[in-house]
Amino acid sequence: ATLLLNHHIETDVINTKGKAYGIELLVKKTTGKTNGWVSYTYSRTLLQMDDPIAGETINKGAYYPANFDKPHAVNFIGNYRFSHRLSLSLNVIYSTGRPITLPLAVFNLGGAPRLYYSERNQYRIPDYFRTDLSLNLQGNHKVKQLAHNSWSLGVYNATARQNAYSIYFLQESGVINGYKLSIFGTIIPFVTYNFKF
Amino acid sequence: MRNARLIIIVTWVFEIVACVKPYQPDVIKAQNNFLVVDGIINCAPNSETTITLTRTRSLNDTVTSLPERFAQLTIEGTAGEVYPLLEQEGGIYKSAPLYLQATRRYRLKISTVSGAEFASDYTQPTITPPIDSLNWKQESNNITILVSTHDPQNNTRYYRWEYDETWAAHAAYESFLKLKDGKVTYRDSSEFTYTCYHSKPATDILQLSTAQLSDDIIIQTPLVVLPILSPKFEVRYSINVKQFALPKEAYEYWQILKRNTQQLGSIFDAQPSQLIGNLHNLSVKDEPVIGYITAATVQQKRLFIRQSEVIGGYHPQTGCKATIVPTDSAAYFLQDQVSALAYFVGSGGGAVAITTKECVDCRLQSGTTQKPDFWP
Repeated sequence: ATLLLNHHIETDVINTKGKAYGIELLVKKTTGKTNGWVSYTYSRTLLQMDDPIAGETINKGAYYPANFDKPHAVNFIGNYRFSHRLSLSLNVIYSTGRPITLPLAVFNLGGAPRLYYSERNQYRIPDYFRTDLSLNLQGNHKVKQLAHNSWSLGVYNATARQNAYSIYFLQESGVINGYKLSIFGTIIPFVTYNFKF
Repeated sequence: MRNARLIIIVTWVFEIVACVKPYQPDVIKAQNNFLVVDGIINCAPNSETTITLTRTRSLNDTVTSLPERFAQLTIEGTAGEVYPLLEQEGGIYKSAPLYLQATRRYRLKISTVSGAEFASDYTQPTITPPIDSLNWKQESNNITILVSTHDPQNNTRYYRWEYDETWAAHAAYESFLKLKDGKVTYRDSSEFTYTCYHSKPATDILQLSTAQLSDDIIIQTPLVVLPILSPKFEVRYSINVKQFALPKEAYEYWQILKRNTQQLGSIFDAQPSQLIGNLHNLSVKDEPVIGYITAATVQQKRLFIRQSEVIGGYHPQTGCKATIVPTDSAAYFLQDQVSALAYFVGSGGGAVAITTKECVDCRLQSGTTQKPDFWP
């Protein structure tokens, strides 16, 4: 199928039905020295392609997760205010990994080696989990200033988890190897200077 | 000093920015050995059916094929007839020449040595129209093999081709001599290793559909493109093209297979599709069996291309050189097990030409001196 510069693209795409459902929950504490919120979302997006006229059905016409299906997503943001100027902040983010179609086996048919793939979006890449921690020091609280400033000092990805950015397979000297690419797969310290005017 | 510290910090930053680790989920590490069935039930009168059985191998296996041996295969018809297939070698099963009817439906039944039973669905044989013409043309630096066919009833819309190539090739030097009992003697004609025959089956999936056209005619569709400078055209080249008609589902199965494996792997490619063939594991429900077995009358045609017909063809440029030594000392030079005798030089038989074994024995390039029976 050609998707770029195709004048009759409707002949190259097939129609698919889908369904989406879920629930979002949020608990928030705004007062006191300790404040923040925690949210949990359960959401499913499923697709179904069972039209035999189109020439093929996907996963034999059963519902399968869409590429962006993310069943569980948990966000936790917590702050602790030591004083008017100093506070500590913690972020915890978790979400289920995205679906992937994996190659399972190699076989020879029609004279050449070929790959056998699993059902579409049957498996998932490893889950995403990240914790950020930071200390915020606000500057002078004088009212008449040109700009209010603050410093932040902290770490991203405090658990040094190698979250998967891309999963891919390469053929190297006759065998097929899978690789997981992670960006920022370790603790990243940061220093930020903010000012607002 | 300050520069060194800066460089260290910058390289540390780049090192932590991206890292690549091997990814091996359990489902890939598990040994997936599904059955793969390749072949077609040949319904042409007095012809044999050949089926190849192999197993799939896991992604990090270095073995190139896993043939499934000692299985029992039969072709069963709807009227109850049963035709067995016998194993020839390593997973290849061949039947006796059969006369299968185009009016009955047939299926393939497999019983593996581990006790599992597989069967294909009953399929109606398709009558394949004969190949109208098989010819070739030379364009710039390529030779293209073209095939034409048509169906006057406009009934056969889906065609598939397989081919076998055979070509003759020469070694660099023709050797008439051999060393026997320490003396240089002439070879018998059965010991000549100058001309060899190489053969190679097709590796692509070649098929065409005329469902979008009003008439079921295929004119001069290119099948194979070969460079002129290929060693296949050194002496004589032959290609045997087999044509068979397919039902629509089988055509789509092979299209999916072709698309899954002939993509380059860019991010704009289509996602791989599921291969759902017409073979089922009767013992373990839903276990995948790879292959689509159809029945058709297979039509064949053979084409020869001589070296003189190719303009600007292949001229062997080997790194072979011959040295001339006196005949009496030939045995001494052949002691290194790498050299071989070629021919007498000059009259009187006093000197011989010696070169390496690869330069006189064409069998060392994986050919055979056995002339195929269809070769003129």
